[in-house]
Amino acid sequence: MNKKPSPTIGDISMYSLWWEAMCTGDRKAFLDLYKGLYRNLSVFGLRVCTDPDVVSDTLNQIFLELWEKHEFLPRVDQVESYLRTILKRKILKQIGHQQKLDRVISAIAKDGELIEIPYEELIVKIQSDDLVKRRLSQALGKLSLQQRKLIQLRFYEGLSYEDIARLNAMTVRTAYNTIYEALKTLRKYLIN
Amino acid sequence: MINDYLQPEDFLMDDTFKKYCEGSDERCIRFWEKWVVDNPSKSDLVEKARYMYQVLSANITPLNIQVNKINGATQPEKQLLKRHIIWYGAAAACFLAVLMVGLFYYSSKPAPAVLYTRSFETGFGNKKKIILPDGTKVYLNSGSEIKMEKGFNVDTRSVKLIGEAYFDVAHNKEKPFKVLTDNFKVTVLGTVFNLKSYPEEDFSEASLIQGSIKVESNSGNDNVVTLRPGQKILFYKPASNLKGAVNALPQLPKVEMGHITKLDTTIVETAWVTNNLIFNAFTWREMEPMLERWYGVDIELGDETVAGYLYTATFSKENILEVLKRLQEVKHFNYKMEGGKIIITK
Repeated sequence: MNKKPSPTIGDISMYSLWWEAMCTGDRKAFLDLYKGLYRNLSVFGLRVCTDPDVVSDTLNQIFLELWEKHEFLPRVDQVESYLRTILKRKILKQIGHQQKLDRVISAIAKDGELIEIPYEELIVKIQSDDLVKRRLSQALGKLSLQQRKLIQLRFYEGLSYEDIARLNAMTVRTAYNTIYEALKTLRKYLIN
Repeated sequence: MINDYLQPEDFLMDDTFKKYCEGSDERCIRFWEKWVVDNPSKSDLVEKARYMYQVLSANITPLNIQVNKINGATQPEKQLLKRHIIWYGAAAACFLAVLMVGLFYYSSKPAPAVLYTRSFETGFGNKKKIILPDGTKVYLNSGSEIKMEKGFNVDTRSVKLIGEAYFDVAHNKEKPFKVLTDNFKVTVLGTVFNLKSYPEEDFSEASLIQGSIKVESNSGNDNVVTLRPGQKILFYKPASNLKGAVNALPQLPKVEMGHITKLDTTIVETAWVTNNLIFNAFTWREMEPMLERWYGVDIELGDETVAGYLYTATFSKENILEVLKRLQEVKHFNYKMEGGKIIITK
């Protein structure tokens, strides 16, 4: 899976630096860490559970807990994977818990296992309106494999044109044009 | 250059616009919020582009909204807010009395004209989830409409609601979020609540799930009730305001405080958000408009006795025929389809 390259100073990850600072009570570092990891962790969370609301709520819960007990947090080498583990555990616990309470959420829990759902399936599944679902999957069907992949990298994983070009061994110009053409097609189906 | 953008995709290709949608860059957010206000003729185009972004990003909540929540929660709570929440029975009674008079007074005075720009509507039989430009999430129930006041999210955040909606308001101390309905006005900072105000039903209600809201009569700032989580307020419309009633003398609207209803652990008032239709000791008369909106069907109650039958039931994925069948199992009635109508008889 392609993900956003993590920011570094020399060889040291910014995430580790922010983590350390957060443990000493630095509120700004805490917020920077949150902002820096938000997208990557959300995308990861959506693989655990396809409800964006559950993911963002759980993520906030985790960070609020981190801040509450920042003085007692352990030293962590791999901040992102550490947080991923917590996020996964929390979401599964949450949907497991809700399952007993709420029949609707339990439908989500059924596929809450960590099988990677393809991006184009995920974004269709999330839509609540059947008409939108239909139009969206039609539109996605009209895109080439390459176009779909680039749309995912750009809008879902939040990469820059430069990163996308680098990852796909193409020029920035090509990346840009491919995405533009894909958006045009999508718009024709999604917006009437 | 931005003026050359003619299609949603032109906006979406722009890095600053994407950052605005993501909520990841303060400067981009400010720039585009202002640009939208300065270019009202393009607001529709921007809305479409934002919608496409929302779909393609798998509805991930914009970062700035999440950060606001974290910010609010990690800062020590404001004393002011706490004081507001304190509730005294006696004070409540006074407030309500004043509120009722205020409501009555208001109902005879025309409201000043307010301009509304963009609106969202749901027909019978469908629901919508909308993210407003400030990040507030709104679930719009069937047969409802929400309008954003001109300049929404610039100086103020005001919307007008007809029907029923569930709000998860993005926190913003500077710009309180206001909802106007036919009967009352609700002001919030950041909180979760449900409002119901259908013209065809004989009462309106506001239910609070989280945070605190101020419910105000439409006449001014004096008649205010602050709700605590778990409470709700009901406004019974005077008979003359009800659709269909003619020549009745204007009556004082009745106001009642209550608590939200829980069935097991599900909150009845907001169950529709997760696609649950719950009847909690409802008569056919009460269920009729709900079923009509929910399924987009036309129902006629052909028998007065049956109209008073009581039902308690929960539905989620059932179609209207399955619903009728299950209701029949609870307390039997007959129905027939005639000219696109479902007629309920004994």
